[in-house]
Amino acid sequence: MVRRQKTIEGNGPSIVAPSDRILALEVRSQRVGFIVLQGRDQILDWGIRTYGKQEADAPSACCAKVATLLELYSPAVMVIRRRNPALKQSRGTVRAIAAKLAGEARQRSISCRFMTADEVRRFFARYECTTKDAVASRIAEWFPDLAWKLPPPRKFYDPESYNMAVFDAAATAMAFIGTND
Amino acid sequence: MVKRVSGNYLRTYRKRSGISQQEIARLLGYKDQWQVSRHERSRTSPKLFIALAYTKIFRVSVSVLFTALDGLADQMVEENLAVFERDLRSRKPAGRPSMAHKRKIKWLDDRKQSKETAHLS
Repeated sequence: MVRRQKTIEGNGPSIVAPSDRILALEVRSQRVGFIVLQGRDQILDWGIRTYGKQEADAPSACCAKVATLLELYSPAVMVIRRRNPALKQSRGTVRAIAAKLAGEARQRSISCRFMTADEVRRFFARYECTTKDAVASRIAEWFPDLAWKLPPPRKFYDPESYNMAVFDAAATAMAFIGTND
Repeated sequence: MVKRVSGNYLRTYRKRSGISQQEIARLLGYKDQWQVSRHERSRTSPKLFIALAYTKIFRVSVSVLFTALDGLADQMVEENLAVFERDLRSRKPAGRPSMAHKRKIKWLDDRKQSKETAHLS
């Protein structure tokens, strides 16, 4: 059974026009990775925005950072990966940030979609990418502009690379496009 | 005043190259990166000389780098040309139409034809 992505307003149109801009976000504590795509294959911008440590201010601070991207690129759709609700960090700040971002998008008449981690994983399983590193490598193949940012495969004792948030955002975007085809 | 439009590809080309705003600023002869940042965010439009310098850095045409501005200029010129042509054709010269009048009409027709040919090809 194929589940449709939930929008804030309910189930919106599922098809994105080929020339539409897509902003995909990977919300982490203290930072948010983003990627802006035009259509399926043109990458316009990518990067990481940090938003500070104050937990009470985190949603507003993050929202202000993302608002500049919304203003600059006027995307048709904003896609956010929904974190696993069982994870401790997803219960509070990150979820509040995602909700606030969705509200910001709604204010600007931008459709907001949530992709679950499972949907992203299932999409990349088609390409035999089952680990984060494999997914990131695949993304770098699809978007050679990002290849120089690709972190080396992570050792179990290493912290996650700072740039991985960009690749996670790109994975969410591609999974969104792939599941909407 | 140029209308503020979002839709330039400065940031995209810069990020592809891996060059920072500060480095671009240095290439353009600016002291700091703020002007480059303003150009990328379409807060200000670069001067012609700087716009040409951007095209030399990224090796793409101005119309590719500043797509929205290019579209805006195209739209403005086409609208004004339509009005100009209408005026020109409706103007009844007192005697014989002057050479300049004929030349302008011919130029407009040639322009239209070349645009159609370019569009078809």
